[in-house]
Formats: sequence, C-alpha cells, structure tokens
Amino acid sequence: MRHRAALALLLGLVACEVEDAALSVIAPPENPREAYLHRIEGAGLGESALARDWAEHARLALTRAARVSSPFRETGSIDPDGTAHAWRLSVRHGQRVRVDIAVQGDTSSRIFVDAFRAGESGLDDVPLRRVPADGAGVAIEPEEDGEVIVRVQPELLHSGRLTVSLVVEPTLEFPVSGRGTPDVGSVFGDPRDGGARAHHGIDIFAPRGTPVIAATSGVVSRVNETPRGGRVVWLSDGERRQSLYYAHLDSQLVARGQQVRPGDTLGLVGNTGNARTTPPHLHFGIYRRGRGPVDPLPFVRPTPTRLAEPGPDTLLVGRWTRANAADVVVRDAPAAAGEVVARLPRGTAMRVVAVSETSLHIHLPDGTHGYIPTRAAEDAANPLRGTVVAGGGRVMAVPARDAAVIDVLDAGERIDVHAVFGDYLFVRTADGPPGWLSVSDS
Amino acid sequence: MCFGLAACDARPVSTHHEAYADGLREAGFAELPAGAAWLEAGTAALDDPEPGALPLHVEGWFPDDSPAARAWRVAVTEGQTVFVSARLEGRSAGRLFVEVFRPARDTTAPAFALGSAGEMARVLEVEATRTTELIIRLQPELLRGGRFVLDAAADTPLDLAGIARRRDGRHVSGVRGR
Repeated sequence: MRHRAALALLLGLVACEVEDAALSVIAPPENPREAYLHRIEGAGLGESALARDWAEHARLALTRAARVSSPFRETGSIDPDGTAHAWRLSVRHGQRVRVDIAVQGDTSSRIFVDAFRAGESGLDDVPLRRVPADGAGVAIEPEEDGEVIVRVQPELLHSGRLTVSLVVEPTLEFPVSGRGTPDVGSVFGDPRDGGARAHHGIDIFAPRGTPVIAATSGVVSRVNETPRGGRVVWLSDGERRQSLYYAHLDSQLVARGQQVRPGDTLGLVGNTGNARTTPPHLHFGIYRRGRGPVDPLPFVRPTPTRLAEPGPDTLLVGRWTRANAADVVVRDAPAAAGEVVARLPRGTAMRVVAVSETSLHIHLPDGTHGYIPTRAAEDAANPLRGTVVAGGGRVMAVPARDAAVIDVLDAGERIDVHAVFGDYLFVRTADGPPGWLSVSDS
Repeated sequence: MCFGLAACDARPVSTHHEAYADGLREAGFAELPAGAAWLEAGTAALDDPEPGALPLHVEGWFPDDSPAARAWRVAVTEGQTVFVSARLEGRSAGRLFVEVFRPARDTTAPAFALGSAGEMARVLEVEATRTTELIIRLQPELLRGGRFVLDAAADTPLDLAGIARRRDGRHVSGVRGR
C-alpha cells in the first residue's frame, strides 16, 4: 500500500482525505479487469468457484490460443463460468490487430479484451488502444514484429454468444491519394549511393501533382527544403512517438505547427532534391523516436479485410454434436496446417465452443480442445440409435468411472443414444437429464 | 472436523450460506439470472423441504450448470444431539453449504439457522433444546455440482471414514422432477 500511495503521489493522481486519523488514498485507475476482480474479492468471493473459474479460464485460454490468419471471425459462447477465448496472430511492426466484438443474447455483459506477446519471462501485456476511426472496438499495436495473443473474456454469470472479428491492418493511411502498394518502386533497405547507405523509406510513384496526404493525425513539425529531400514535410505522430517524412514534393501546402487529420493534403508529388533525374514520386519515411528509421511498408500496405457474415452454423455454439465421418481429424488451429491433436471415430461426442467460417472449435469430454471442419460434425439432438439398458444402468455426469451418478435406469428401459465417447454412450431418457452410460451397462 | 453449535431460540446464527449470498449481492451477481436463480433455489428448498427421518442417508447429484438446492425435514426430541455430515464429490466439486434450521413458531417467519458449514465435507453437531422439527439444507456454491452424500443421525457421532467407503452410487436420489 505504501508503494501504491507513493506511485500515486508521483503520478499526481492521488486524492487524499483525512478521516478518523486514517489516510485514505484513491489509487490511480486500475485496468477494468483488475477492477472487476477486486470487486469480486471485496465482496468476499475471492476464494469462491466464481473467482477461481474466471481466473483459470483466463489462464487456460492463453495456453490454448489457436494460431489463426487475418481476417478471422469466430462466434463463441458466453458461459456463466466466464469461459475465455484466445487466438494467436502474426503482426508486423506498423500493423495493428483490430478487435471488434458483437454480443448476441445477454448484452449486459462487459467483455474484457487483453493482448499479450511472448516475452523473456512468459507473456507480456501489449497495450490496447481505442480504434480512433469510430470509437468502437479496440486495436492492438505491437512495437515489434511477432505473434500476438488476443484474449476476450466476458464477465461471470452471463449467457449468450459473442462474435469476435480480428483484422490485421495498417496503422496508417496510404500517403499518396489514389495510389496503392503496386506503385511502390523502392523499398526500405535498398542500397543507395553505390551501397554507401541504405534507403530509409519507400518510394511511391505517381503523376506529378498527385496529392500527398497525412497518413495519420498529427502536427506538421517542419516544412523546408534540403539538397537530398528537396521540398519536404515532417508530420509528428505524437500518439505513436514517431515522425513521418514526405520528400521530393513538387509543392508544400501546409505550414509548420498546423494540425492535420488523416487524409488532409500536405503537398503534391514531385521530384525535387536528389530525385531530379527520376520520375515524380513520394519518398515516404518513418522515424521512431529513439530508434531511427523503420520500414514504412507494414504501416501503409493494405491487407485483406473481407470477413464472411456469421452463418447458420453459429446455432451449434454450446451444443453437443457428433463426428459424422469415420476419421475426423482434430487440429490445434482452424486450418489444415494445424497440428493433429486427435482423430475421432464416427459418432464421437463433442461440444461446440465456437464456430468460424469453415471450422468448429470443439471440446471433447476428456478436456481435449481443437478444431475440425464444420462439415465433419452434425447436431447430436437427433438420436443415433436406441439401446436397452442392462440391470441398474447408471447415468454419469461425465464419461468417467469416478464421475457423479445422476440417474439410475431400470433394467430393460429403452433409451436413445445420441453419441459415443470411448466406452460410454451419451444418452437421454424420456424425463431424465442427459448423461453418460457405460457400454457395459447397455 | 466438527463444528459444534447449540440451538438458541433468540439468536439465529449467521450462516456461511448467508455470507456467500451477501457476497453475491455485493458483487452485483444477485441481479443476474444465474445469481438470482441460486438465491431462489436456496429459498425454495427451505420453504418446501422433503420429508425425512433420522437416521437420514441421502445420496444425490447437483448439476454444476444450473443452481439447485435440497432440504429435508426431520423430527428431533428435546435433548437429542443431531450430527449432520455432508460432502460433495466429483470433478467439479466445490463448497457445499450445509445448514440446519428450526422452523419458527410463527409459520410466516423465516426459519432459524442453528448451524452451518461451508466446506466440501463437514460435520455439524446441533443440540435440540426442545422437541421439534429441524430442516437440513444442502446447496453447492455457484458453478459447482457433483454427487453429494448426506448423513444425519441423533446422538451417534458419525463415522466419516465409514461413509466414504459407501460410494457405490446405488443410493442415488435423482433430480427428476425437482
């Protein structure tokens, strides 16, 4: 508490009041996830199943996070125990992962979004930021190339479905109006001056006079002319601690200190400076504070963003299904490149955790998680076959010898078998709860 | 582990169940359907206990995905000491709230709690100060369920080890119709 108070004082965020000779300190704002956990602990439920399940689901989701490619959309369940969902995506420095979430059903639950990347001592937090364009969703902008884990977790005791869209996209707008990546003629690192130096930007070729635009909001920090860059404009992107460099302009249309928004015209394409002997183009560079030039291409190169709308398969979320082929391969990711984690015989029971465009994220009764093609499963609501119970058939809560007995069936009772798992049948009686019956009892 | 509490007409004890329920309210969970259902299940069981008699042995099952509670009404004689043992087993087992109540003389008033326990396996010891009925209520915490075993007997301390050996699952009191 002493450290927290000291930190709060240093940050100037402290509010103190003396009450009964006790100093009450309001600490700096917690992140929403910590605040939620503190509320549970403050209510005396810190050791309850509620708090433990929520923390365990958060931990498990990170260990099970599947590698997916952008763009990706998955519809999953919101369960009362706060089941979390997580994915791994490759992201270049200069790109961001945009996370958009839509909730169906109980919309009163807050959804916590966290991002992590592998660090030297485990997983490090990656800060989130609001997507500035429309204020909806969040974006993750890692400052290194690598893999990011995105985790979403609803509050406890809510039910419904949530659809999460993950799109890796450039953080900046393309800096030349009406042009695109095909017009980039020279990339970062190309040799210059006979190999004496490297190219610290990209060259975007366009007709003379094409508008050069602000790739982000910021302040124009410099407007001048140099032998190498010709007519140049520097735009300070304070939010990302970087400066954008526009060179070889035919004309400059902004003044130093001017505040600009994305898309505002800064000048016109030309070939001033040491580009006099080349066709008109924009030399575009990005200089990170304390780090120097970085490759601008990931910051501006458009990426695929088309996402299929959730289809009728999303109705399978939370339901029991069964394998509808003889050898259904379960992988650790929703793509053929994923590693095989199980192979299922026909009729195997599995609960659908989430549905994406072509895959089902499934949970097997033994705890195995994985992905199968959507076409490899069918709803287990309709029975596979009937069977007759042997004497004293015990229906178990889960397919395991030490499981709780939830019902005892009469000898000769006819029941419906909806799926199988190992030596157990997933059964439903006319008036009892669904459960698992040992094959030897049928 | 024993948890001794003498019955007292004037001051009902504050139970582990009540503390947990207060926590649900304070955390805002009581306003959510699952939290409200948990509170309602506990009240409903107490309002309409199943008939029972000492010695009482019940095995049954609480689902972990929907709140449930059960209660039994048993007759006791003045001077008897009632021992209650209950435990929750299974992969998702958690806290099981075990309480012993005496119905209030005024039938419109809530029952008095005489003793409670809030762990996975506990023995309660309650002394009956008058001839009356007691209500024994079991309810697992939210998100937890499993097979429960309840034993209650008068004057005879229970053999927990003996109870643990009787785990053949043949005495299931199922949840059909509850």
